[in-house]
Amino acid sequence: MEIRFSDIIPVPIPEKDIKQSEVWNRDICFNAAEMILIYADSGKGKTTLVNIIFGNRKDYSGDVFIDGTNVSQMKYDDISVLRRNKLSIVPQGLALFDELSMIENIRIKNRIFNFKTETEISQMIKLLGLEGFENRKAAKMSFGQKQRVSIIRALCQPFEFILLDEAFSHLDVGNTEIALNLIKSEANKQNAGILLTSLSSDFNDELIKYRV
Amino acid sequence: MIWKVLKNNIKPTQMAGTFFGIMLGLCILMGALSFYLDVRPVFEDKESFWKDEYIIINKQIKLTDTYNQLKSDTVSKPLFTKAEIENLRNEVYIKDVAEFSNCSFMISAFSDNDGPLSGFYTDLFLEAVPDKYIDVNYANWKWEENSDFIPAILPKTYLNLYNFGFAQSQNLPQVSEEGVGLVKFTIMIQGQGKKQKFETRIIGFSDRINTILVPEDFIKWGNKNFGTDIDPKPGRLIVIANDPSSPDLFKYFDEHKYDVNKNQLSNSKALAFLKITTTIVLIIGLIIISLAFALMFISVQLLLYRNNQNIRKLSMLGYTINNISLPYNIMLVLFFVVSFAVALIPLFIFRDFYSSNLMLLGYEKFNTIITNIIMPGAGFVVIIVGLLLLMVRTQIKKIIY
Repeated sequence: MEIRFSDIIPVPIPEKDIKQSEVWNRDICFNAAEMILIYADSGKGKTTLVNIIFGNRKDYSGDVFIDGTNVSQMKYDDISVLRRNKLSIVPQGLALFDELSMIENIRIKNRIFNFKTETEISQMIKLLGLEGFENRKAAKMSFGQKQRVSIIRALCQPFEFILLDEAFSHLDVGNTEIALNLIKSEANKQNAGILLTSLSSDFNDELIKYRV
Repeated sequence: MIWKVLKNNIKPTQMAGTFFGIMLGLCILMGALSFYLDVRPVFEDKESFWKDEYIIINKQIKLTDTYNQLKSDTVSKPLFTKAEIENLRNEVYIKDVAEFSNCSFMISAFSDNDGPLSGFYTDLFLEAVPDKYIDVNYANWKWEENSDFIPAILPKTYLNLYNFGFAQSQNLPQVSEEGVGLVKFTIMIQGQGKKQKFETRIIGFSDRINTILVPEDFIKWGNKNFGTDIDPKPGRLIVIANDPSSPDLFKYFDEHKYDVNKNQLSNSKALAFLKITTTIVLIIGLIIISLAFALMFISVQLLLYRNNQNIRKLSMLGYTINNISLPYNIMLVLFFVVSFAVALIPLFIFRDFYSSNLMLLGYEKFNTIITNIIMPGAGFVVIIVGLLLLMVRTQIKKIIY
């Protein structure tokens, strides 16, 4: 998959931030199998960038192309197909259902394609230290636990790019490393790219880094 | 599982209120329609050879008319002029006007001496209407010159008058309708210094036409060869109305002081009353059901609005509009199927109640409830459900896109 930005300027970003950015108002291209880090302080537009790629926002000038198709001209059904088959996401707000248990929050995604077996899901839960919380309602979980649930859920689908919007912000270094390794291994299996946003650029050097 | 996240914020009391409103509205609508369709024929009271929309009118006869006619032979009787007939024809709610043909010659009738009515003799009169207004299947409703047989249609009241008045008091045998049909009468007509005998048989009885009808050709021939007037003015007219229960029609008759067959008048008024009451009940039903639907539309919109976060989350997971709409669609269809089914219970009870009463009055022909009431009712519900489903889809699309 190829994600290409062509002179994107989001409406809410101030002009001075646009000038300093390595992303806004530039022509850049993210390719499958790449690992990209988008970093910046708060309010510079990291989440906006993720939402523009994901088709959630239209308040920008310029064009975003996914495999040559302009995202702003995609029909809703095309966006659904994209979200089912090609683009996975861990949104900043996590988008978990408070009324569902942890395992139900994962299954509600997995049931679309039955992409992972129950055993594989259990292994991921165990790996991220969530064993025993399967039946706990999401509303009753800490933000860090929710982030890990959201990561597992994002891995329960086929994807060519996974968008991680500050997905490790509430995780300790150890858990961040386990989670990132799990994501990398899934991405490698599917020959997929990773686009990660963070407040800090303090990640290992494999990542292609852009400052927003 | 999707239902689990989409069913949030469903208010059971609101749903119960909407359910009751829709059920009541459907019940009233279908009940009123059913009652109207079933009761209407009672007032229409069809006859095989006299169509409903035929109304017989004549001019009112006042006391002064009687006095004037007694005083002088030259005073004209209250008959219809050509101009009056033309005016009637020009009224928008009147399709056509036909004249009764009177005879201007003397007629007497007597029965065969060896039949059940032997010794029967009476002076009488005959009238005719154009043959096309007699909806007869009888092949012998015709008279040709040189034929000595005349078919006749008699008012039923005449038979009753004979059976329960004349026959009883004179110790004569009573006869049935079929029995009378077997009796041959002899008719003697005279005028212009001539006499001629004919044979006649009663081929039918009518509740509506208060006269003795024979084929028009016979009256025309009689007036020409025996009568004092070749083409007498009609005293009665057949008015063929577009809608025999139209109030405008009866207003016109009142204004022009025309008398209408009382039985028909009361039936037409009852039919008009039935139409008015049915319309009022239908309007009430429609108001109730419209309010219930409005409540339903608002409730569903509110439900979608309250669940907009979860709808967005599902869309982020890759759920399509169809996936997200489906649980709501199932809920709405089930809701309406159950409301409709429950509404049928009081409908059947109501129908059973009035049909048993109508059966006591001798009416047994009822409309097929499936095709005439349930199918239109179901069609109505399908349209409303279709609109709701469309609204759900549009609303969901608006939330997520």
